[in-house]
Amino acid sequence: MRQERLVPAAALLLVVVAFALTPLGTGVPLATFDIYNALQGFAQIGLLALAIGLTMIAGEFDLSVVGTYAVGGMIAVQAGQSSAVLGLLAAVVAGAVIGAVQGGLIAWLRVPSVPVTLAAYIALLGLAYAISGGLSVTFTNRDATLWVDQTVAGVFSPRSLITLAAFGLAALVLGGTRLGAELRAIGGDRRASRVAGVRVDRRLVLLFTTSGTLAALGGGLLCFSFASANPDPGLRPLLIAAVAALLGGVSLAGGRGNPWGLLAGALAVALLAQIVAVAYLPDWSTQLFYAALLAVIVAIDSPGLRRGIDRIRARTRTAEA
Amino acid sequence: MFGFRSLRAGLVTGALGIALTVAGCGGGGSTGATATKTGTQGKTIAFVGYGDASPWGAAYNKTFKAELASSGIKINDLTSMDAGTQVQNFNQAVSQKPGLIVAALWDTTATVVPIQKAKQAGVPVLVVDGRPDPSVEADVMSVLSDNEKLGEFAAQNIVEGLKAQGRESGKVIVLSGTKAMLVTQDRMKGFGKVMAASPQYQVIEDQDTNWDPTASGKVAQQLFAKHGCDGIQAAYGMADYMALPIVQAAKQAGCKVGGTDGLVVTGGNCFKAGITAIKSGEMYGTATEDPITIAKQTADYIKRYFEGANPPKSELVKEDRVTKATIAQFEEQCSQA
Repeated sequence: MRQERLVPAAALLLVVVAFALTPLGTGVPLATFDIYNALQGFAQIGLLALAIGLTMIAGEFDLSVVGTYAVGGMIAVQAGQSSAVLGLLAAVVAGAVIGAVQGGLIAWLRVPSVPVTLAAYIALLGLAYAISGGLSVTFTNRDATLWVDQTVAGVFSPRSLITLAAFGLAALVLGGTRLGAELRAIGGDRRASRVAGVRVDRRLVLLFTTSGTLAALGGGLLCFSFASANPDPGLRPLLIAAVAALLGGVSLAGGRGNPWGLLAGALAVALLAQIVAVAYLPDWSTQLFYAALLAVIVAIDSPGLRRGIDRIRARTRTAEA
Repeated sequence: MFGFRSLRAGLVTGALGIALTVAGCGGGGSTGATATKTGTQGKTIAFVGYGDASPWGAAYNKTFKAELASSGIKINDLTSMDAGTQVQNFNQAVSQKPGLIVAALWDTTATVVPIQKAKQAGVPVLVVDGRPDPSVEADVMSVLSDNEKLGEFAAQNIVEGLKAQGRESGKVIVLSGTKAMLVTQDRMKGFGKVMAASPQYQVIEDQDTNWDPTASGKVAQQLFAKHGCDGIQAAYGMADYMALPIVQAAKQAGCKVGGTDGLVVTGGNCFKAGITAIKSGEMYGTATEDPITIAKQTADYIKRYFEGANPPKSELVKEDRVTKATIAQFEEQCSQA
């Protein structure tokens, strides 16, 4: 099994088994609600994980997603008081513009994404503070708040279904067109992809536009759910989304990964958080579990370990011969 | 190129299927005791409080659990430092139908719907520390800090300290707790009310440092770099563990602290370290809302509730101002954390 398939598969399988075994420790059987709540957690970070993960496939890293997440949420809440759809639309358009501007700068100025997106993150947080006056903004559209989290088929909500749909759409587009292969080629060797005829600049603009759109949509949906928009969500969403992306089989070096893997990574992270809630473990243990799972996955994925296993196999074969 | 799609889709579906099957075996999941039988034995509470990473939260949680340890009440710990996680944990608590949900709210607006869900499910909710959103105030019981009064005390400390130095004007900085919380907003309301009565002293900065001592220290360093020692005469750190990093940052910037012409610093949520700093003259004053007192009152309220003593729907913890002049009275209360 290729590494980009092995990593997310192992991560999700490990967590699902741990989740299924939780009742052995707690003495309380799992309830349907536990799946619903885990998928709510997935909805909270899924779109951010997809946004970051897609840029990582192309060898970039969009630090600004959490700023776009905050601004998107703020715009969605302020523009969506009477019409939630209008609010989400405004947030998504703003996210797309923010992403497109950054993608344009990165592509045409040929500058690395980290400093550009870091600057954008800081500027966007400032913008969120400016829009809100530094205070949380209440979302008074109670119908929208109730709608986004209403139970669908026992375990889903419109928010988690929209998030799942975004992953499905990304997989469809990247899998059904040349875009997926081109992004991996850009991530693997940008110069070689230019030589091979990939329109790198356009792809980067499209990539960051998508990333901004997803982050703003995620922020908008979350703020609808919370019935408030916080101008500073902190760095936690970014870190968790990055962990989900890494568990999803993408590499910091780029050139590897796909939306299905990212979906598995995001689900693994959400289920892990739900295990902590179900088992009444201390809040900080979530971080320890993320770190431990990441360590296991990195070990599985490490070239050193693979070389070691290959050497052992070779010796075994020699001995057998 | 994408020949593994079906494998991946199958894996994800299969993994979810395992979880769904296991969950299905558990049914609706209903645990915990109801409040209909009197007595604390066998009762379960879901504790959706602040996490231990906050010094106030850690001291509160430790005392709260210790006070209930001998009562036979089972505490399901769903504390968290993150507003988003808290909403999920609150919903989790409602689904488990405990005898009572005890919550200290990070984001009052975000917890409106969970509180409404608890009401629909017939699960009583006790909110502690900061008040809930006004739209659900009638749906919960509460043991609250008098946050507006605490803000007034902080401003009184600053005004008194600056006047004692003979200053006819002064610039004040504020490092607040999370602004999204009504706790913070109520304190700032009280603080602003008293400061408005002394317009010669002007608040020039009001920064959200999220109840985080490290963030308080960093922001204080930036503010001293921006305004210089002459540009800041007084500072309010909303908790002692936020006021002390201000003292440290002022010293690092070469500014004089306390005394006849140094920086006047006031804290809040009194802690032992704050009392020591008041004694040494580095802090002018603080205020109560120590975690120990409110934790004990919350535990007592819960016992009375389960024993059928019908405690009042809302109780306010009495708060006091602490300065060098009154320190002897509050030293013991403030030195337990």
